[in-house]
Amino acid sequence: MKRWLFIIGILIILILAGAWIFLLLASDETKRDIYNTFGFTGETEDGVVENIIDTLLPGLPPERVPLRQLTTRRVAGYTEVQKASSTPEMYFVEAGTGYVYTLNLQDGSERRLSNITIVGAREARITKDGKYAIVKSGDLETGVATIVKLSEQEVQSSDLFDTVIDFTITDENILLYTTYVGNDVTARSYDPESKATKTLFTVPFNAATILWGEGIDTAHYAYPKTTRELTGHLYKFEDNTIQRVAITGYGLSVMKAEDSLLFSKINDGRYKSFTLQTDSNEQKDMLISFFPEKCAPSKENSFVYCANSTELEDGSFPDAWYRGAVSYSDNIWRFDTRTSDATFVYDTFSAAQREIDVISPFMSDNTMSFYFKNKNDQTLWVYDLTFTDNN
Amino acid sequence: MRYLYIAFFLLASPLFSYAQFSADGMLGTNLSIQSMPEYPSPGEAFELSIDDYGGGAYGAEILWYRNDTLIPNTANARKITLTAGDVGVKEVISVVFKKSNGVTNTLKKEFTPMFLDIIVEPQTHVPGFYQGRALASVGSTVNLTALLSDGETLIKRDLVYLWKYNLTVIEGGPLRNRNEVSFKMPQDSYTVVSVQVSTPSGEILAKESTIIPLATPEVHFYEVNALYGVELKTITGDFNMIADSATIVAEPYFIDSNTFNYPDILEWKINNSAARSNSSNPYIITLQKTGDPGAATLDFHVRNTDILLQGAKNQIKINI
Repeated sequence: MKRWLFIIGILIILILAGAWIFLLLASDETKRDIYNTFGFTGETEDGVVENIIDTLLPGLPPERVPLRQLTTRRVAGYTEVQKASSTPEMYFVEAGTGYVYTLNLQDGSERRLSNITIVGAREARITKDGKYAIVKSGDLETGVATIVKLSEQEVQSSDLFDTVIDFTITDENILLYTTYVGNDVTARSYDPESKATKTLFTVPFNAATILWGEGIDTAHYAYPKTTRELTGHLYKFEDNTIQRVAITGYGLSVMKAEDSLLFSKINDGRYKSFTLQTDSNEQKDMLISFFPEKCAPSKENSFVYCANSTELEDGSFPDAWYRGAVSYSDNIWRFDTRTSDATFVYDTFSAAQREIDVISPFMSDNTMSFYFKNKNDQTLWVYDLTFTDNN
Repeated sequence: MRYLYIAFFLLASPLFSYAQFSADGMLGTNLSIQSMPEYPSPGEAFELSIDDYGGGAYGAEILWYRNDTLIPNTANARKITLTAGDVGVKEVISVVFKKSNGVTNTLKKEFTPMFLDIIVEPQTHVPGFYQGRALASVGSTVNLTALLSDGETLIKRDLVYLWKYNLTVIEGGPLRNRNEVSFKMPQDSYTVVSVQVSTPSGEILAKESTIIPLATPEVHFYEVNALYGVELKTITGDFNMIADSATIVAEPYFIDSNTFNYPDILEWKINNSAARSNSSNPYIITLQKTGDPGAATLDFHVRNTDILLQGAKNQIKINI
């Protein structure tokens, strides 16, 4: 009797030990998934789309408000994706991980589209059709660009052969980028579908800021990187020629609108803003000055929305701002490039009770939303322009 | 003999007087139109003045014309200010001198405004995330590129470039097809760089100059996040160490790239005691909390001992 009891006891212990080992191994699998997020620089890991993860943003106001914080995650890049017969969705790439999410702009829920880890993801662009995300990781000057194919069945990634310095995506879902070819900065296009590459133009200097056109064959612009200590000049690249545009000055910064160029430069020690009509070359002074990198043009009218604060009065701007030594609490303004009129739109600090230093602004295609990132924490925000008269 | 001298002087005086007149017989050859700047850019304001130190235009009525059209409100002016026309469009400025005896004479000056830009690219270190342009510091290499444009496109044909910084001619003389040159930044607060572009036959097409200010190298500290990389806000004053460890990078701005890559001095100090970077990147240090809470100072110093101004140091306080 005692022997049977002893054997049964041993069997029970063995079964329990087996179950414990099984659970232990299973939990190790889970841990491996989590730790993959925190690899070291330059690594990417392929994977498949996970189940839908819905997360309601904490603190999202239930009522409709003009200014909303869309993400608590840091955002490397974002775009509004319009798929057939649906309302636009916001796609964004998380900084640091390179994960791609879609965001429901109505209820604030997020869904992860890609779990391919791109460690150190800093800059990203997403095609308008939502099929590809181009994610740049590492150093902004020498980083690697990873192309992530977003698909419901399988998510794939591949690295672009060239080192990517500056990049954008056209409305036709073509990647435009600059790369070093020898000592020159060369602009190229890359079609993620056909994988075809084409050389577009070569910039005759290295420290260049590029203003990309809407398509491969449209005009692109470039000027030397901005500093208030040195002069800048604007060049237009079109039809295999380089044309000098009549825009020059210390601290030059330029933004391209529908039919005009908006630029700011230092006049008598202070930043001053101007518009130049691209068809007539007519130049006008703006009544209120702004910094073009904090502006986004409308695609439907002559309005440009800008974030503006006291930065232009600061004698060290923009150099100290680029360095991260100062930050600003911006308000939103609307400019009319035809009349040069400026209208105050919104005080972001009063609404958010925190400093919002606007970077990467973008106007939605329907001109209803002004999106931007807060430089202070890299989160994504939107200002609803339907709250503004005559948007 | 004395009479011979007087006779010779009297007979010869018309010859001296004639030397004061130009080919058609009225005004002095010393009369000319001066432009400041000499080769104005399109749309640039420039000043035209009559250089008449010989006095040949004395008492003459002066009329200014631009492409044969009288320039209003410039009658009898010896100095006028105009705005240069469109790029690549030739303009002729004429000055007509009318003497009281009815004799007239005309001086002409032709302009074809062109854009001549000097792109200044100092080869000093700035962090990869910095979106602005690097500035020049003492002894750093500065790359210069001249871009000449006639309005249609950049002119890349056979041209001769004469480069100068302050009073020094770069490489000692004109350089054929060399629109890109380099020089070492001198110690002056400001350096004036100029370029003159001409055809191989010597026709000057344009001149331009620009000022390069001397920057002082500086070091700024940034926290390094394991996931996100370098945080884009400088650590100024106190750094509160919340976690058990923190990684900090010292980012020098505007030190020469050679000094950045091969510094003679590169040192970290914690509370004035030498500390060692535990990273493959010597500009990064990882700190770990030990002992009781308190405060410590973190110093960083990088320098080229051959050019002592080619270096920088900074300090922050760390609250543990």
